[in-house]
Amino acid sequence: MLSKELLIGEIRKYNDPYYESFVGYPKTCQLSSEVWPIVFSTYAIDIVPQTLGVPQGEILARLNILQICSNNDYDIFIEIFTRAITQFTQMVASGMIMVFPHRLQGIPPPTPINLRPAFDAGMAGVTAKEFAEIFAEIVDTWYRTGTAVNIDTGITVFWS
Amino acid sequence: MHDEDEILGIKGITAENASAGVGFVIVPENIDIDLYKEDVYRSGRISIYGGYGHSNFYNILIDREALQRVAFPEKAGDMGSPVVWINIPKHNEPIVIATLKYDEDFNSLSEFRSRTTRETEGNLVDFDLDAKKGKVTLNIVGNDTTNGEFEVNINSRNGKGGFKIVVNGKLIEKVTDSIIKISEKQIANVVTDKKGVIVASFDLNSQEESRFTYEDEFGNAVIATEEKFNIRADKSSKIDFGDGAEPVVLAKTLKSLLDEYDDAFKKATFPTPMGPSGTRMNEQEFKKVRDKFEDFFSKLTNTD
Repeated sequence: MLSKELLIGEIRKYNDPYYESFVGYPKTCQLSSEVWPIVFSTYAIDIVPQTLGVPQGEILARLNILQICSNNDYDIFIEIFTRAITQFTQMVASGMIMVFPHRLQGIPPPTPINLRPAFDAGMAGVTAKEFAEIFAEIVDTWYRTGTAVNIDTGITVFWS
Repeated sequence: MHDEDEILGIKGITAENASAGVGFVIVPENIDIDLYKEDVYRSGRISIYGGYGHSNFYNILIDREALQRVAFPEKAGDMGSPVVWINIPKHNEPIVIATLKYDEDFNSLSEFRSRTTRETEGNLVDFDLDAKKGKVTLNIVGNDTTNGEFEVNINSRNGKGGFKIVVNGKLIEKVTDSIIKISEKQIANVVTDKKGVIVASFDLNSQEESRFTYEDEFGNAVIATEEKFNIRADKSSKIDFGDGAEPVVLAKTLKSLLDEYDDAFKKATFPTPMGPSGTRMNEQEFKKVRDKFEDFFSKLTNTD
């Protein structure tokens, strides 16, 4: 099941020294590009309906986020990060049909995700916990607009 | 005092029955002129041509003052300074009592003016007292081989000889080379106001703890001792180097502020899109720099 609280905790592991499970800041941008796909994976791994697309999504997300390391522009950062989570989510959706008995067609959220409010809040100086909460709220809300359609019955269910 | 007979004798040199006359300084024949001159100044006796109607008078007495103004001819047979001589009957010997203006003297004298000039071989000394102008002029000119010098020697057994110049106006010293003042004890220059209160003083002293001291009424001072060279501005509290466009840094205060800054910076985090950043990761590098903060302490200069 999707869990906003789980996502908040995963983010705080890497950005909030006041969090009891804080493991440390990624020391380089390259390490950061590995951490964020793991956060996405941990959040989406138990999505309902099930999917086999998470590992591939993780790879795509990493490749995208790596591009941030060579670009300090804030707008481009948001664009790349948005693309990373969007492509990750597309893999999550496309991985649903791969699950036996191969009857559910995953469909990503119909509207683009807007992460700018979370990043703007970060730049405005909110705490790491507050950022994690805002970010998780946006992602979780957006994820729950994703659907899966039973190709036999046509019944559609929202991701959860 | 000498008896006049001792000085002149009674036979003397014949003055040819004249009581006085005007003659000219001469140099005897067949004699070294320089040796002759030395002999004249040493003995106070000179040779003259006695003037029209007279012959030469050799080795006659000359007044000491007159002797100072005598000009000798360059060779035997020529005439030197015109002189006035008198003959004292009892002694029957002419005595030169005055010199008259010599043809080659170029200083015209006037009333209330006295001038003494000596010139030879391009050297000249000239002492001019002009009461009308209220002016005394001392001219000294050296030639190519002499320097032209003015020397005053003052000595006293108690070591308290003095030389005082008091001028109600300006005292100007102008030279083309150096002005060197040497003292075994102290050289001081003081400026006062009209009441005599010191407004600025400059002192070089071999006896005091401070070898060099400048002080003025504004509370400024420069004091040089063995331990330090001290510059003070107690009243204005301002010392400028050059235009003084920028203030001098207080090194200890700066170090203290940099320490504070570094302590704060050590804890600094920065907003990022994903929340505040962590603190700096290169702590060791910062520590190395901080350990060198005292390197900017001047070992030469201190200020308040």
